[in-house]
Amino acid sequence: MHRPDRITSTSLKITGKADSRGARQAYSEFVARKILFLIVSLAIMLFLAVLSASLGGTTESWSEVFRAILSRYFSSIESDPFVESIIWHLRLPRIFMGIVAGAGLGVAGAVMQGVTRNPLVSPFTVGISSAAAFGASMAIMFGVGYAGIGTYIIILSAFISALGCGFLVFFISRLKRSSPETMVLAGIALTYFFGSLTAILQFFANEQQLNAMVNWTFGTLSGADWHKLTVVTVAFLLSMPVFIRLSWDLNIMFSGGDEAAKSLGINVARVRNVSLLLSSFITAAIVCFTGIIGFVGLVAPHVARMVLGSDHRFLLPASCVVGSILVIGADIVGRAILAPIIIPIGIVISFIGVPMFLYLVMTRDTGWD
Amino acid sequence: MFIRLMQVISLFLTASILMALGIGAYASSSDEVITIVDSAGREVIVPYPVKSVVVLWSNPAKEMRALGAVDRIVGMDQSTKDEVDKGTLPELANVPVVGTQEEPNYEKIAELKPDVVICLSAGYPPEPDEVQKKLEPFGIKVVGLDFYRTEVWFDEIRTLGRMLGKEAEAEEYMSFFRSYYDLINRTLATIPDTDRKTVYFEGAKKYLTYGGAGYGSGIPNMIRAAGGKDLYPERSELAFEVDPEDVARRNPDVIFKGTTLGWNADSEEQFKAIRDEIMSRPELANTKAVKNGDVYVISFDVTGGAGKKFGPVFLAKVLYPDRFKDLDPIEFYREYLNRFQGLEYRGIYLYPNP
Repeated sequence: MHRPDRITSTSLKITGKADSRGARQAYSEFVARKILFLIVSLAIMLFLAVLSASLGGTTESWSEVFRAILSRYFSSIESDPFVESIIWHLRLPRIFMGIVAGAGLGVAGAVMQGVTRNPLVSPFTVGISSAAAFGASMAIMFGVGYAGIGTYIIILSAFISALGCGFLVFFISRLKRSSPETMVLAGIALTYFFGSLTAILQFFANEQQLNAMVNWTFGTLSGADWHKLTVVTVAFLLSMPVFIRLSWDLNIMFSGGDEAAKSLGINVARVRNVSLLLSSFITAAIVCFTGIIGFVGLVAPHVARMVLGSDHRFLLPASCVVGSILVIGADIVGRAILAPIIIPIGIVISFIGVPMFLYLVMTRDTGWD
Repeated sequence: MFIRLMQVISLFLTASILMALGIGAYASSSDEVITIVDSAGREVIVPYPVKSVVVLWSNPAKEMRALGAVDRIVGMDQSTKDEVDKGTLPELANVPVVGTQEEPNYEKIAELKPDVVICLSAGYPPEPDEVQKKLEPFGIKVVGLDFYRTEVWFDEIRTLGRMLGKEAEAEEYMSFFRSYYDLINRTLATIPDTDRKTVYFEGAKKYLTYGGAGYGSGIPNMIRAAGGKDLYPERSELAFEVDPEDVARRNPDVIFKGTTLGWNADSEEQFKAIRDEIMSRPELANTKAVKNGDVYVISFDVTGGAGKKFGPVFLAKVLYPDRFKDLDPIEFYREYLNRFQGLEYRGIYLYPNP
C-alpha cells in the first residue's frame, strides 16, 4: 500500500519540478517578448521624432538639423541661427508635446479600461473632453478677451472644468460604491450634459466668440512651447509612478473582477477612484493645452493589449509609447500631406488610426476574451 | 592733477556719448521704424515703410491692392489662395501659401522673412500675441487688422496706409467711400423715423437671420446705415433661426436674401429661383414685402465680411429708390473694382434691379 503512494508522490514532485522549470523558461520568454516589443516601439517613436524634426517648410538636411540641436549643448558646433530658431523654437516643443500628450492619453486610456473592465472606455468617456470644451467656451464668452492673459485663463478654465468633471464622476460613482457601470454611465451622461452647456454658450456667442470656441476643440500641437510642455510633462511624471504601482492591482481587478480582487485584499474602490482621478488629471492637463485629440486614449491601449496581453506592468508603458507614436505619426502626416498647410492633428489622427485599429481588430485577438 | 584727470575723463565720456548718439541717429535714419496701434489695441513697432508682408486672410490683400501695394505680399494663407483661384487676386498667382488662418505654418513664414504678418485682431485663434510669440526669434512683427468691421474700417485703412508709406493712397481710398456715405447720410437725415422701412435679412439658410442688439454680424448695423430698421433689434444672438410665423407677424417692408453667388454668377436664373422661392412661401404671402414685390436677392460679396462696406450703398438704393435717384450701386461697385482693385466688373450682386 505504501509503495504506490510514494511513487505517485515522487512522480508528482518530478513533474512539478519540470513544470516549474518549463514555466520559468516560458515566463522569461514571455517577458522578453514584451520587453522586445517595448524596445522596438521606442525605436519607432525615436525614428518618428527624428523624422519630424527634419521635416518642415525649410529644406535643411538631417545633418543641419542635428547640428542645430547639438549647438545648444556644444559651443564648438556651428549652426545656422535661423535653422536653430526653427528647430528649438518651433519644432522641438511640438515633437515633445506630441510625445508627452500621446503617452499621457495612452496610459490614461489603459488605466480607465483596466479599472472599468470595459473596452469602450477612454479618458474622454468620463466627459472630460466636453467638459474641457465647456470650460474653454466659458472663458471665451465671459473672459478678459482672447489675447495675452486671456489665453491662460482659457487654458486654466478648461483644465478646472475637465478636472471638475472627473471629480463629479468620482462622487456620483461613489454613491454606488464605485462600480464600473456607474462610472461609465455617469461619464456618458456628463458628456451630454457638458455638450449641451457648450451648445448654449455657442448659441449666444458672437461671431468671434463662436469661432474661438469651435477652433479650440480642434486638437493641434501648433500652440506648443517650452512652458506648456513643462507643465504637461510634470503632470505626466507625477501620475506615471502611481499608475505603475497600481499595475498589479489592475491586473487582478482586470482578470478576476472585483470579487476576486477583494478576496485578495485589494481595496477595489480605492484603486478605481485613484485611477479615475489621476487619469482625469493627466487628460485635463493635456487637453487644456492641445485641444481635443480624441481616439488616442481609446486606441493606444487596445493596440498595446493586442500585442502584449493584459499584464498592466507592460501594458501601461506600452500604451504610452503607442500613444506617442500615434500622435507624432499623425502630426507628421498632417504637416506633410498638404504642406505647407497644416491639418490639425485631431482630424488626422482618426484618419490614420481607424484603419490601423480596424485591421488589428479583424486580424488579432483583442485581448478581451 | 586730480581735477585735470577728471576733466580729461569727462571730456572723453562726453565725446563717446556724442559719438554714440551720432551713430544712433545714423542707424535710425537708415532703419526707420514707426509705432502703430493695431485693432487689438497692441502697439507694434514696424519698419517704415513695410516692404514685405504675409497675410493670414484675404481682406488685407484686397485692401493692400487698393493702396497699390499688392506686390509687397510675399506669402498668404489658404483662404487668400482661394480668392486667387476665383480670379479676384490674379497678382498673387505665384505667391507661396503659408498654411491656413487657423494653422499658420510658422516655419514657412519664417523662411519668407517678411517685415510684417497681418492677421485678424481677435476671435479667430491664433491671436496676434500668440503668432507674435512664435515669430519673435525671427524678428517678424505681427499686426492684427480686420477690415470687416465697419466701425473700425477707416482707422484700419489709415494704419495700413501709414505702415506701407501709402498715406496719400489711403486718403484717396477713404474719401471715395466717404463721398458715398456722406451722400447717403445727408439724404437719410431728411427721412422721418416713421417713414423708415423695416427689413428682414435672411441668410443662406432658410429663416436664419441676424440679431441687432449685440455686436452681431454687422448686418443689422449695415441695414441701419442704409436707413432701414432691422427686424430683430432686441436679439443679441449673432445669427439664429427664427419662427416663420414671427417674421410674418412683424410684417417687414422689404426682404433681403443673402447668397454666396456674386462675382462668380453669370446668369440671373439662379437669383430668380431664389427670389421665387421666397415669394411663394405661403406664410409670407401677406407681408408687405411680398405683396409689393419688395423681395431682393443680394450677394454676400457686397454684404458679408469685408464686403459690408459696400452694403449701405446697395441697401439704401433698394429701400428708398425715389430719394436716391442718382445713386447707382452697380456703378459704385464698378468704380471700386476698376479704380482700386484693377479688376474689370463682372458678376451679379443684386436681383432684381431696384
